[in-house]
Amino acid sequence: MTDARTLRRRVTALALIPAAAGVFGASVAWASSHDPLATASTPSTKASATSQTTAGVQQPMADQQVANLTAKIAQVQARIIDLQATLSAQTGGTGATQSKSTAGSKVASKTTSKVTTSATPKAATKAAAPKAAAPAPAPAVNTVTKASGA
Amino acid sequence: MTAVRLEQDPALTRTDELAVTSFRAMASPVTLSVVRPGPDAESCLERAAGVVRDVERTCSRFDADSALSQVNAEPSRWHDAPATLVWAVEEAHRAYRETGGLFDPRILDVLLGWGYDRSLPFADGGVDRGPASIPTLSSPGGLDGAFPWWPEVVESHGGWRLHLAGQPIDLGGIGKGLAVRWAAAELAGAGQGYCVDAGGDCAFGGIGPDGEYWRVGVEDPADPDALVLALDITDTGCATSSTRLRRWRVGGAPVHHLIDPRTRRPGGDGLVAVTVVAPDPAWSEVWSKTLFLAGAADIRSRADGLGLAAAWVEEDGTVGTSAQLDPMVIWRRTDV
Repeated sequence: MTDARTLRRRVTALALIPAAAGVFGASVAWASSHDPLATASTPSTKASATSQTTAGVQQPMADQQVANLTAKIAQVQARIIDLQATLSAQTGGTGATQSKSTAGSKVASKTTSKVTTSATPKAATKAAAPKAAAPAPAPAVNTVTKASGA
Repeated sequence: MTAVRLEQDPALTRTDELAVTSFRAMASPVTLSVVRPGPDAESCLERAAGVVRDVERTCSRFDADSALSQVNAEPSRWHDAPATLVWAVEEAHRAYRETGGLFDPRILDVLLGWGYDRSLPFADGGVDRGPASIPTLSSPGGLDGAFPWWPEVVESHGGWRLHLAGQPIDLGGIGKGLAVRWAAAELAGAGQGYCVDAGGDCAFGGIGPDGEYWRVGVEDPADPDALVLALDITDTGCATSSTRLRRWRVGGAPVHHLIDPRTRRPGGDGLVAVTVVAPDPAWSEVWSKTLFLAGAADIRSRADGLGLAAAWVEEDGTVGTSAQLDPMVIWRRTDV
């Protein structure tokens, strides 16, 4: 019996060796995975990734804002061009109508005032240029000679 | 100043300053105006309108029942003809002689060959009259050619007999000019001034509605709502020959109604419109048509050589005026 008990202890001890080795290995592995240095770098990486993700979301928003502002600038520039054209037309048109009527003279002085007060000398020169080239409007006529049948 | 609309003719309107009647004749709007009308103005206007309608009834080639259509149907025999047609043919023959054959009413056969045998919707130039190519037609020739035109007229038993010398004719342009001339004669004593306007062929006399002259615009052929010139004129006629309306296609080739009798093709290379201010409205029409045939290259020398007051518009929009016309111009479009 004693021999049998001894054999059983030895077999048990032998069986426990791999288990102990496994437990030890698992402990070493856990300890390795919980290295304070390694732990310190992981959150940093996560933080960086989070930062990059946030920046990836914010960049298109910024681009959109830039695009919106660019579009607004373009609209304002177009409006400025329209206003310049209107001003030029008014300035040129009064040249033709000035001698026709008192009302024409009033429009002429009003337009001149606008140019003087609101435009730089360069702009005033620009506005005055079409005035010289603007054709006089056709006078009222009693009848028109034209293609037969019209 | 009160406007009174006369009951007998809803198109006749009179104020203290102006009496006007408007109607449609000869495929054109017609307006007759009298400035500061006298007591007989209404009857003068009615007679003038009657004259225009008489010319339309007599000289239209589009009306199968007109005297001209009857004579054209058998141009190689004698016909009894109304005085209006006889006078129109005589005036057309005079124009034929004095223009050296450049004004030739026998170009009707060319127009018919190109399908202009009815009033066409010309305005957009899209009408196509079918043949695969412009037909080649025999040339009757001008005064110096082999087939001079010599119609004959004789007075018989208080009436008139007419022989067209073998070929049908088109009196469209000169007929309208004569209608304007004769209507103007009816209005001469109707007031202090008058205007006869038959679709752009005009006669003016006396004062205008706004002053000493009649202010007349010359149409821009590229834009019927715009003008290229404004003239101050009176006691004169005025007519414009233009390709703006009377143009169409024959087998895809563009043609217009201003035919050069020498070539029997559309004439006036480089031109789209010619206006002539001449004392008589019928001769204004004759000269505008024949000047047009000179083309852009020669029209100035031709107009100055003939001493004509003329304006013309070239295909590129350039506007030219003769020395005789310049004193009449009070406004000129400067961007053309």
